[in-house]
Amino acid sequence: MTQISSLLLKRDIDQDDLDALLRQAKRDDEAAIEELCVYVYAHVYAFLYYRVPHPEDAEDLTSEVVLRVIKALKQQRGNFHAWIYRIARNRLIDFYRHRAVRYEVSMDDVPSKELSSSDDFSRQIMTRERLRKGLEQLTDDQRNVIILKFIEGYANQEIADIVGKSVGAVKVLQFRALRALREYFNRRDYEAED
Amino acid sequence: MKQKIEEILDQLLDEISQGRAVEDLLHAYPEYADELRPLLQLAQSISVLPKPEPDNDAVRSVIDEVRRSAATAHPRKGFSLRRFVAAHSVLVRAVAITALVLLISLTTVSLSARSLPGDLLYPVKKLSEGVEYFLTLDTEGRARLHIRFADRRTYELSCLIQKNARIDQDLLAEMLNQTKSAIDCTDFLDDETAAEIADHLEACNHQQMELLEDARQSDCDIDTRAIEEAIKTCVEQHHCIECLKSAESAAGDNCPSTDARYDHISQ
Repeated sequence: MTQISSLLLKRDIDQDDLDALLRQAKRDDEAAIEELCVYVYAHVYAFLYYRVPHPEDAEDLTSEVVLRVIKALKQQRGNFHAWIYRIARNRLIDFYRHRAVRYEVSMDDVPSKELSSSDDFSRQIMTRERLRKGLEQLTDDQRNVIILKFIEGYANQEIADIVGKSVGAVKVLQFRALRALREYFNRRDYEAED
Repeated sequence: MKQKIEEILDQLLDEISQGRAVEDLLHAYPEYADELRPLLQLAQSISVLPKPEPDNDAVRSVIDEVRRSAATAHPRKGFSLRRFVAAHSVLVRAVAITALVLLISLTTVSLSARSLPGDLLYPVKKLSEGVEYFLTLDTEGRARLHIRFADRRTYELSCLIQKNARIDQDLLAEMLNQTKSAIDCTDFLDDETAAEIADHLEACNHQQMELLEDARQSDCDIDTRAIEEAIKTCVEQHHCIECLKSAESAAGDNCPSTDARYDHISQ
C-alpha cells in the first residue's frame, strides 16, 4: 500500500518528475497510478475546497474527478494541470446544477464571530467560510486565479497555462479579484455594524 | 512609462512572499499605497489560511476504487486493433496519411500512363518520368529509360495521328531527343551492353520511321516541313545505330557527332 501521508508531502513535484509519473501511469504501472491518484487528489481537493459549502462535498467531488482522470488518462494530451482542473470545474458545474445550490449570499449564513468593522485585513480573521462566501462574488476566472495563486501556490505562468490566458491577463484578474473581495468584505462588515 | 497598478500589485505580492513587510514596500509607491495596502493584506490573509489537506481515508478509498475498476476491467486477450490504435494514435495517423498519399499518388500516376499531350493528367505522367529518371543513377539504366520514353512519345504520336489531331512539334522533337540521348549513353557502356541497347534502339528507330511516313500521308494537323526534317533526323539516327552495331565502327570514326546531327530538331 502506498504511504499516503508521505506522498501528500510530494504534492509539489517538478514538471520532469510529473511527466515521468504520467508516462509510467499511462503504461498501467500500478504504483505510478496510485501516486498519481494522491497527487491529483491533493490538487483538486484544494481547488474545490473553497467552492463548495462543506468539506465533505469537496471530498466527494474530488473522488469523482480522480476516478475520471485515471479512467481517461491514456487519452490525455497537453497541459496535465489544465486538464484536471477542467474536469474539476465541469464536475463542480454538475454539482451545483443537480443540487440546485444557489450562489446567494445571506448574512444569516455568516457566523457572527467572523464579522468585524475593521478594514485592516491583517487583523481580520479569515476563515474558510468567509473566503468561500467572498469567492462566490467573483467571476469564475477571478475565482480560479485566487485559488490557484494563494491557495495552491502556482506561479503566474502556470496559472496562465491552466486558465488559458496570458500572464498579463492573470495579473489583471488577480487585481480585480482582490479588489472585488475587499469591497465585498467591506460592505458586509459595514452592514454588520448597522 | 507609468507602471500599471496590476503590475505593481503582482510585483509586491512576489516580494511579500519572500518575507518583505507590506509597509516597507508601499513606501516606493505612495500614490498607490492606500489602494494597494488592503489588497496586499487581504492576499496575505488568504495565503496564511491552512492548506486544505485531504483526509487520508478518503484518498485511500479512491485508490481502492481505482484498483477495483482496474481489476474488473476486461482482461487483455491477445492483440487488439482498437487498443493498438489508442496507444499509438500519432504513429497510426502518420502511417495512415502516408499510405493515403502513396495510394493517391500511385493511382494518379497509373491513370496518367495512358494520357496524351493536352490531357489533364499528362503533366503527371511527365513528372513521374522526371522522378524516375532522377532516381536512376547508372548510365545503362538511363539509356534504357531514354528508349522507354522514346517509345512512349512514339505511341503518343501514333494516337494523335490516328485521331487526326493537332501534333505538337515539341512532342516530335522529344521523341527524337530521347532516342539521341539513348545513343549518347552508349559511349559510356561496355561493348556487350552497348550492342544490346543498340538492338532496342534499332527497333525504336524503325517504329519511328514508319510512324513518320504515316504522318506524312495523314490528314493530321502538323507542319509538313517539320515531318520532313524529323524523317531526315530519323535516317541519320538509323545510320548511327548501324555504326554502333558494327564492330569496326565501335570507335565512332565513321559516325557523325550526334550533337551536330540533332541541332535542327532541338528547337
